[in-house]
Amino acid sequence: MGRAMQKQPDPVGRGETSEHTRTAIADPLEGLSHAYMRWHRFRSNPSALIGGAIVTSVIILAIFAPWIAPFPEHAGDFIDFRNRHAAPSWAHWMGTDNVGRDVMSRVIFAFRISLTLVVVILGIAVPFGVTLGLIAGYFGGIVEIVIMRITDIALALPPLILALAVSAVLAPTLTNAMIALTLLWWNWHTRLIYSITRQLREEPFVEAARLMGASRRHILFRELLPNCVSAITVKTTLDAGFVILIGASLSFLGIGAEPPTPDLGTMVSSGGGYLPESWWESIMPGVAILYAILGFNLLGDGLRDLFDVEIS
Amino acid sequence: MEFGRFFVRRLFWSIFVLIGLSIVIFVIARVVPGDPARIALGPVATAEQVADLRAEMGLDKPPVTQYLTYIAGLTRGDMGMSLLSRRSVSRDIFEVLPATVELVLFTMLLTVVVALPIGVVSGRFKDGVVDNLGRMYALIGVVMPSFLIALLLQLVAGYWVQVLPVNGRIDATLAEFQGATGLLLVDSIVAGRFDIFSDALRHLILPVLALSAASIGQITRITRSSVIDVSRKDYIEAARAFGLSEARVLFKYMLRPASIPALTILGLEAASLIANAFVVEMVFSWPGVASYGVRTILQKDFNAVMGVVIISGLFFLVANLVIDILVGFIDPRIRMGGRR
Amino acid sequence: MEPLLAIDDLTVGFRQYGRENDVLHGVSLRVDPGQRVAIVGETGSGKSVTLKTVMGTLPRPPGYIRSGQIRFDGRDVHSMSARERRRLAGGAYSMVFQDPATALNPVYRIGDQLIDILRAHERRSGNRRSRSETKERAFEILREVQLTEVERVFRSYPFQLSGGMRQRVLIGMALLNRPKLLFADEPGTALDVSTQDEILHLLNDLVDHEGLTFVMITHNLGVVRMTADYVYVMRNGRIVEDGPVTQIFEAPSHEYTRNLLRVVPRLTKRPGAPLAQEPRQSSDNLVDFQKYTKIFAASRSPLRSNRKADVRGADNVNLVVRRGDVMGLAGESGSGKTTLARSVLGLYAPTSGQVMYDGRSVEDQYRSLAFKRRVQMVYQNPGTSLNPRRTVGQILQLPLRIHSLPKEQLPDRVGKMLEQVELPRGYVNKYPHELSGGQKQRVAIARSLALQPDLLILDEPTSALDVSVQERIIALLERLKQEYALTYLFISHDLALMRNFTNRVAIMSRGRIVEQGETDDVFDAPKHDYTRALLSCVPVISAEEEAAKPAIDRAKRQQILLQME
Repeated sequence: MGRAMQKQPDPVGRGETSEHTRTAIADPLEGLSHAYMRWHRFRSNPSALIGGAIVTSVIILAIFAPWIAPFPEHAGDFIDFRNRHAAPSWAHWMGTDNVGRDVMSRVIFAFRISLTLVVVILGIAVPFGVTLGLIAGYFGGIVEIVIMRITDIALALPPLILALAVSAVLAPTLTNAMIALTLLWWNWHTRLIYSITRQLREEPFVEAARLMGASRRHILFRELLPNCVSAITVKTTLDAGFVILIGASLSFLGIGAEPPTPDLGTMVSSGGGYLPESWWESIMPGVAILYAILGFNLLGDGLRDLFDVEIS
Repeated sequence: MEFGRFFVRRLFWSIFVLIGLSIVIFVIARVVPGDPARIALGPVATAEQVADLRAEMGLDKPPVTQYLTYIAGLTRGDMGMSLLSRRSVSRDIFEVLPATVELVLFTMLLTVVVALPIGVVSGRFKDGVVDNLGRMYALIGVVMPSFLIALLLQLVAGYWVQVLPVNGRIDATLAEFQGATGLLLVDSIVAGRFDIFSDALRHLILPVLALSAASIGQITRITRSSVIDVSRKDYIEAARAFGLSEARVLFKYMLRPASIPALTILGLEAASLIANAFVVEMVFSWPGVASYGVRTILQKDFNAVMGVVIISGLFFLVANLVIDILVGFIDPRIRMGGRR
Repeated sequence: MEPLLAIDDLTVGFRQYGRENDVLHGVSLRVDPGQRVAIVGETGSGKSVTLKTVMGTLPRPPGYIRSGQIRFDGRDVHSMSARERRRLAGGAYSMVFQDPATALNPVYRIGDQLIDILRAHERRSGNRRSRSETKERAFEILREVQLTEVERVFRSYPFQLSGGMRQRVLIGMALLNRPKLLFADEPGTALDVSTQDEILHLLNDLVDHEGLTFVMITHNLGVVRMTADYVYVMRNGRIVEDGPVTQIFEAPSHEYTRNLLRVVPRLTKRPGAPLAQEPRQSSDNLVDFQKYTKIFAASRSPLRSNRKADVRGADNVNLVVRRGDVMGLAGESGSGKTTLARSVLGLYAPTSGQVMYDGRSVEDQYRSLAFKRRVQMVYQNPGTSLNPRRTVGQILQLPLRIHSLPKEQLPDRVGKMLEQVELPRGYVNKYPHELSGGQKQRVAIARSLALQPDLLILDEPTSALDVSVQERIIALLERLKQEYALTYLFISHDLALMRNFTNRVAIMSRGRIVEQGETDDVFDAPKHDYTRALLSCVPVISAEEEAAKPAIDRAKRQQILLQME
């Protein structure tokens, strides 16, 4: 299912370039550095460019929110009833909400929550899942069976539903949702890395290292892992979008950051009550969610083309 | 014969996963701090009442016994008793299930009907008009949270254009209608009530559109990339070199091998389809399993929560079993025990 | 006479990273009706691009045709619409694909695919056959390519057939609609020599009987000599020489062709520099297989064991490799030569019997670092035996670091290792994909020598390389052997190479050693029928070699080969 192989661009089918031809004709790519070729492909890849720009802007907005947001104090429990439900204007580009807070300032601060989710969940789940995948793929046998059967079970559980169940049963907080999502997220990376490693473990270079007497740790992390890096990068970038999406869905359903901390999903859901008149209160945060997810997706797709890896 | 063995193996796998799933859920539900009986009865109940309920629900027994009792019940279709409504969870779920089944089946149907052809054409005519539009749509479908699509559809169709109903499954005036299967579209035809049929269909349109966006996007992408993958194979070059018409190459020699990964992903998509159904049902007040699930989760009704999770797991497994069988039919190497 | 196919001044380029570069430079060739033409060249010569351009399967972009004309039967193919062109494909001309493993659609039955091809042509020509007539034609073609049990083949899926059978089916598909011109892409080279020999004979017979015109591209000069009348030699996108087959082989005019013919290993004894070996004592036995048997169970579950399907990787093998030997293990795929080689490394535990290394059982010592120091392996494909994500320096340092060489000595040692295999020191920071195939194999050899082993196992070390590169790698291996007093266990299916590189040889089939001895004895006077049959299948490039091959007629040979299967 999940297959990921590195392919060198080789449209002519030259395959192995013989020593003979190397010396005899000018190499078509001679003088082009590796970095140049990568840059050339990146430049002629609009989705990577646009995605990269969007992701960068989201990260900058989140980090420098207090300096960028026009009304940083509106991120808290600020109230200005005279100014509630104000339509978008020069003062408030995205209008104001039901207690008169600037929607744009809150959206900018809300990116912090979204990115926190991304960093925490993927920061734990990816290394864990990758390690398990390497182990299952390389060692095989009973280890493989146990690990992969567990991922089978985890696969049948939609993350959103488990997060709902866990966080509702414990307490509907952001932390609990994060724990629940982390508990399920590793399994996708395990499956991806497992499928790559299972193919790689038969490769002669792995056997060669073993015959040299290399340690298991060396083989897992120095021989196999470097061959998974592109796939992990692409998958993690795409995942970042999905984490934001599920995080927003959860807070839309009522499991999100504690008010008054701004959270995009919560804003959409509370603003939804004032549709269609005050449409900006829900649509603007909605667009912000879309913007962030789109960025990560475009970047991920672009990187996939760039590295030429397959992930499914 | 080989196929029979293949089927049995897949069936065993499904049962294994289901058991694993039930253990996971059971552990989560039981490690939760707090006494389910106390929560169910509320703070005013006496200690005796709580103890009685605990005994009645078997909560005083060791966890392993509790689990085995639960599993034994499950094989009879008994998921225990709802702590709050004190009704049978299976009965409750059975009542709301048809609404969700109707929604999900229609979504899958729409997904397959729309996504496969677009994916095939996009893959074959890479960078053509269909491909560019299809990729755009797929991207939007994938990145747009379903609650946002649902809200937008409600906004457009409900408030501005006002041609389609934005809430519920059927108009209040027709709500008393009851049928054998609970699937309104089927029952109404059986009963010859075409007014109900058309009303139910109209109610279905927006939720299905909202729910299908993501899966259409995903399946279009997968189909496209596997068509591109297959089109690079030697056997496609060979088919062309032997003079087969382009239509035959595309619809026979490419489509079938390309549909194998697409179908496999469609099976895995079932999980996120269920998840999205939770959100979409909430927005459109659709009286299905998801609405029931969100309600019971927020009320900490453990047996009901377990029931809902197991039902969604079961749906995932059945969907994948069907897909596996389908893939087995398509690919002789799998069916006949060869390697893929 | 009007040529059937004429290529005129064809220039084809590729666009990569914003650069354009031509891969074909003004290629011209003509094929007369009934002629058998071979286009010969090494990797990068442009022979595949030429074929793809003619067939219309060149990927565009990145490829594009800059100038030139392709005329088939007097009609300009290049200016035709895709539709018109498709009309020609399969009917007017057709092609035999190289790799029988990938050129058949895996999810349809053979019969289904054959009938589709027939129907496509019928629809075009307008004369529809009845269902049973179509089926009969499909059977007929299967019989024509000498398949038995045509009914079963017709109903089979590709994965249920052997490689040789699939190759026959592919030839049948190409011939279904009686094309005038048949292209072949490296015919038979993906198969074992005995199967290759049958396929080449079959192609020859078919060309004769059907009056076909035949154009093939190949790198194998032996195949050319067997199946072509006229030869074009290509190099770097240009045709350097062309002429009748005898002229090319006996009086080549271009230096490149002469060199190519020089470096192809001969089945006869190479003049000069034989690896003379003095007689030795038994204490010099480095590797000793004693009644070694290795059975691979067909089913992993002990409950469903199926004795009949079990594979005998090695069957009661007695074999000695002496210190200083270049011991050759020859045989077709699945003969067990790799099994034996890998058992020396302790990768396979014996089912019965044992392998001794330097007087001690391999099983007792293969885990120790000391043993790993002494026995190393060089793999067939340097593209996969070097980790694509590690630099040459990192790759070469690994064995040194494992065996605790002080860190400060590493760079110097790595530099020396590179020099030892005649690569510049500056290569330490390169990644494998920046190197050519031959350079990669040199790095792999350097790595295997890092710990100064006694025994090097060479698993088809040159079969993925061009023949001119092969020559230099073999020369390097011979030099290193002298310098470091190495012993080689050399696996190959290439008997001509074996003759020139080894001093002792063992011929294997079905896990058994059918014959072993001094290389010269085995090749000059093969005792076993199988050895004789195998030798007689090898495509050779001179009449002298042809004369040296064991005389054995085709029917007898077939019978022997079948017996061994």
